[in-house]
Amino acid sequence: MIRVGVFVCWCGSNIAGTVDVGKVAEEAARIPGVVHVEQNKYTCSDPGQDSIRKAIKEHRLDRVVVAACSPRMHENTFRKCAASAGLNPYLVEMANIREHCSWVHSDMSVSTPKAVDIVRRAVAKVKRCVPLHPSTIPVEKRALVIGGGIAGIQAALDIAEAGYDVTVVEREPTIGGRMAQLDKTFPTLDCSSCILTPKMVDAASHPGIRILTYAEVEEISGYVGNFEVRVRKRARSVDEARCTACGICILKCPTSRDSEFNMGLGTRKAIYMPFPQAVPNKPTIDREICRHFTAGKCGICQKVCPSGAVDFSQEDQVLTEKFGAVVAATGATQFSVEVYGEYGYGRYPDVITGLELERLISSTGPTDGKIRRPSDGKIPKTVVFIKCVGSRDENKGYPYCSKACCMYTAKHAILLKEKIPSASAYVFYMDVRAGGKDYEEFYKRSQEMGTRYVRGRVSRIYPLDGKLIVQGEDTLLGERVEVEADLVVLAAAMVPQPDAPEMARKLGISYNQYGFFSEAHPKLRPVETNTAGVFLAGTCQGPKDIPETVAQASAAAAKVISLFAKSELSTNPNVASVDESLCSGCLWCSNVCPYKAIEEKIITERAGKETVTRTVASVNTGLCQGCGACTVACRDGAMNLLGFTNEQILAEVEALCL
Amino acid sequence: MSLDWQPKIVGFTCNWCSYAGADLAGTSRMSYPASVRIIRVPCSGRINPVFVIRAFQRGADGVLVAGCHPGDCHYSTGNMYARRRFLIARRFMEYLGMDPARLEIHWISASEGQKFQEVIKNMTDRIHAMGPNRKMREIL
Amino acid sequence: MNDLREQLKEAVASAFSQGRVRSFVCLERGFYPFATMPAILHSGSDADRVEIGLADAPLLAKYLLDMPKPAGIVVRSCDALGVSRLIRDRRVKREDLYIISISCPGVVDTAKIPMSMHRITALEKAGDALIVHTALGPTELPWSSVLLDRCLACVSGAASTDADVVLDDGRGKPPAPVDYSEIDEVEHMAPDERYAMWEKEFAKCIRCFACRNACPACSCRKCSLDLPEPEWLSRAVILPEQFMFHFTRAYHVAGRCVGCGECERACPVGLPLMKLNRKFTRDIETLFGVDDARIPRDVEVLGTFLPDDPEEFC
Repeated sequence: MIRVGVFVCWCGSNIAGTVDVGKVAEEAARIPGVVHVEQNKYTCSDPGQDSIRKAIKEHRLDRVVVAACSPRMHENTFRKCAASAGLNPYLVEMANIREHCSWVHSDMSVSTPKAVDIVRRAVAKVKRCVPLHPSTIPVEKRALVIGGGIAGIQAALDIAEAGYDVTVVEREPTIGGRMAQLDKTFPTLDCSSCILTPKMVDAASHPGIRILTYAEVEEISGYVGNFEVRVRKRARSVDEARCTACGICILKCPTSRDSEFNMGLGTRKAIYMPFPQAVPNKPTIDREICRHFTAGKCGICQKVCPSGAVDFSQEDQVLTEKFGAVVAATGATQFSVEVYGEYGYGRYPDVITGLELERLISSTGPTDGKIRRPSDGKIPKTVVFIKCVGSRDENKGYPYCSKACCMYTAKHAILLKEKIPSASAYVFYMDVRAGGKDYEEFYKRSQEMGTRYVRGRVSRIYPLDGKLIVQGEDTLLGERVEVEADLVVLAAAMVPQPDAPEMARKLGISYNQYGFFSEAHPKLRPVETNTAGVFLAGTCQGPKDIPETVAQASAAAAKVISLFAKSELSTNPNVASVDESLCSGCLWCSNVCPYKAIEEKIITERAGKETVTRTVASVNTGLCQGCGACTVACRDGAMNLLGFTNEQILAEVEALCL
Repeated sequence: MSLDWQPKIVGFTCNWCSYAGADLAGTSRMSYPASVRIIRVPCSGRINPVFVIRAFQRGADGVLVAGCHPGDCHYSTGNMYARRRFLIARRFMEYLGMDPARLEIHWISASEGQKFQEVIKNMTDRIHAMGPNRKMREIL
Repeated sequence: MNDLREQLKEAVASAFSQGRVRSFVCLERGFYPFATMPAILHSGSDADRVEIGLADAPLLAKYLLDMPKPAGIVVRSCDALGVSRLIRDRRVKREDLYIISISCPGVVDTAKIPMSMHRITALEKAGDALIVHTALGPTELPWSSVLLDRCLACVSGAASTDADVVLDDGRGKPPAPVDYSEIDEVEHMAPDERYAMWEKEFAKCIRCFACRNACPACSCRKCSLDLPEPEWLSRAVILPEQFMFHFTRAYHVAGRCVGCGECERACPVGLPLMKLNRKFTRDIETLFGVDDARIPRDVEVLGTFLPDDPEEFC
């Protein structure tokens, strides 16, 4: 027999002031199944909780209703309280007679009957509660970091330092990412390589870190603590163990193409290292252009290699491994500025993007660090910078602010002045956003060095006598502006990787309308995702500068570490559950599951004299978050949500409509 | 129908947004008619349109279905399914002769205590003007 | 017509002789010589029993559920969608089926022939007419006046191409536009008038569940409406429960109804069930931009969404 105890809370005068609690208690006692009712001034206080514990024992209560505040406030309190008296914590239900009743109705003649209804609902539900037990799942204490840019490197180092194994998967032949392409970093102007490459080496030499370059994640299944990941490591055509990185193969290779690392401003060979400090410091053969692969000829690199490391027959390797947590650090890319026809990018070689300028400034770049115009190699005297190219533009680009461009443009202007003191710089801007430590000062410094900031947009750029005529408007002065420039630099927005949605699907996470991965909560859970065990670091989540990226990477690492610090995870017991005797196995439920938590399962059963097998749905309780969308998709009523069952909800409706 | 007749509204709210929105109306002491009785579910995607029919059968004069705004679902997409389901289910109820004003669907976020208050006020006023529901109802 | 039947017999016989099937569901001669009923064959030697089904032909898809596999089936275009529905609902596997599709000019509803069944000796289709033979001589009736309701709503009688054998004699019902005027009529009624109409209709319902049992989209092993707990539907045959039943049944097939009309044909009290089903079908097509919502798809309409799905809530 079910024995429900109802505890009506006064909450001082918060409830008792506008609800006749005596009457509520009196009515509650009449509800079938209720064997004990008491009132407390403050049920959540120690004496209040003690009286619940005492009543559970004295009256052999097997269900508890606390008519008090919102369950969002104290459900946990009372569950723990019941558990300490030996009752399963999921046999407690709250009747919210404060937030939903006493605080919004002042007339006792309406609030009291409403409170009674609310208690009736809670009793109806609690009578259909069953004991639930969180299950535990083991944790594979190895982390996967997808992306080997600064975010991935930082996350990997932090996790490995805590003593856990990390695998970094990077699709390029080297780690380093975007930061490796930069020359100097704002606002301190320290050299990007000088601060990045030591970290790359640290990561590569760390005993807890394994780096898989030229590799991509193909599939992720499983759930927090137990992901199964398939990685394809593409054939490098070079035996990494034998190669001594002497570089003679690169020197002798007859085929070349535009260098991706140098943003197409220089060339690289078919066998190449993206940049000299690449990690691993081993060349890769680009099979798309290598003559051995395209024409079946050549093979010079193999001939000249002193250690016999070139291996044309190497094949892709597919690895399937288990990980407990995943950090997505897949980065961002640059907006395709060609859509701004008025700027002439692609038509005029001296209109370049910010990243291209980085390569021109960099001493490892195609011009050995001398800023020269791409068209004729001349040193530019006048440089125009245009900000917000592709960002803050709903028509041609994206509405969001790309965040780092204001500062990197200020940096470019400063570096220009340092390299070419006689040069003059113009910056066309919409607003200057310099929020950040030492950022405003840095921007001011660029102004003090003589950079002229023109508020307004550029309407047209056209070539004239070896110059680029930049026409725009100074909206502060209300004047037309025309600058004869030698070089124009477009501050292209950071945009999501083109395959970000595909990666999001593999990870089972959501992404916003642009393709940036979505965090679980914008303020309170900024590095978690809605899929437990998957964390975000860096620009895959939104535009960011380096300090912010590194901070987020460390935060993601901290989340991974705290996950791994547990020997096992306990799961929310309010999950979907299948009655296999009812399930027809249509699996339409799995369609609506946001967590890919429903799988098919083959069961064997007796049907008359025969043994037959059939398919049913099966819920992976590690993945299920308990939303219940599947229960409505299920027509035969086989799918139910523990804690919010069909029986319970129908009984609640019944109780409220009495 | 007596003058002080109060409609009975059953409200299905998701735990994360709309239930919290109703809580906020409470903590902000925003008063509204005592017509609504709330059933808490994790997500609007958990609300079966059949529950709504059951409420009308058993004597509800109105039913409120409330969830997170599209795009803000705690479970990322539950309310999107709810939106489809209730779009066609509500039209179908209307087709059976129910007044569609008796079933309202609203997106109420955890910060919209005021919206919750307004929804209940307006819904109560409308249903009050219509009088008790007699359609699909068991006992009058 | 006979040609098609001969071809069908041959195809059924060879399905057995090639070992493609262990059983075969088709039509055979019924109680009245001109009507047909379902038959499950277990051997190729039974192939002679196979009939095309000029009159009163029931749909066969749901018989597949309990037949020994691999199972064969003869389908018209309406039945083909039902089979497809069962496949999408994973109630049968395509690889366990051997499908022969035939073209269909429509099926005669003998209830629409204005004479006693006992007097009819034979039925014959001749062009656009049905010739009813009796002891007193033949009578001609316009073909469209005697067709089953579902045939009147049929969009095309051509043989379905998703089959192992396609038998099309080119005499299938010609393609016709989809017609939702009966839904419009109900929608144009005043709410109270509409409610009164449904109340009147549902009052006839005896809750025999024939509609559910005939429906290829209602194939659950155990129907939730039969469960004692939770009691989605009570045993009481009272109007509120009738509304509950008909709402639930129609909602459960919303976006899944193939429009075959077998529910309506099976209903012993003549409820206009397709008026319920097709309301959902039409709304789904217009609201969610689905082209012909009767066709079973890999993802259910209610199992997906678009970020900018319409909203019309207060």
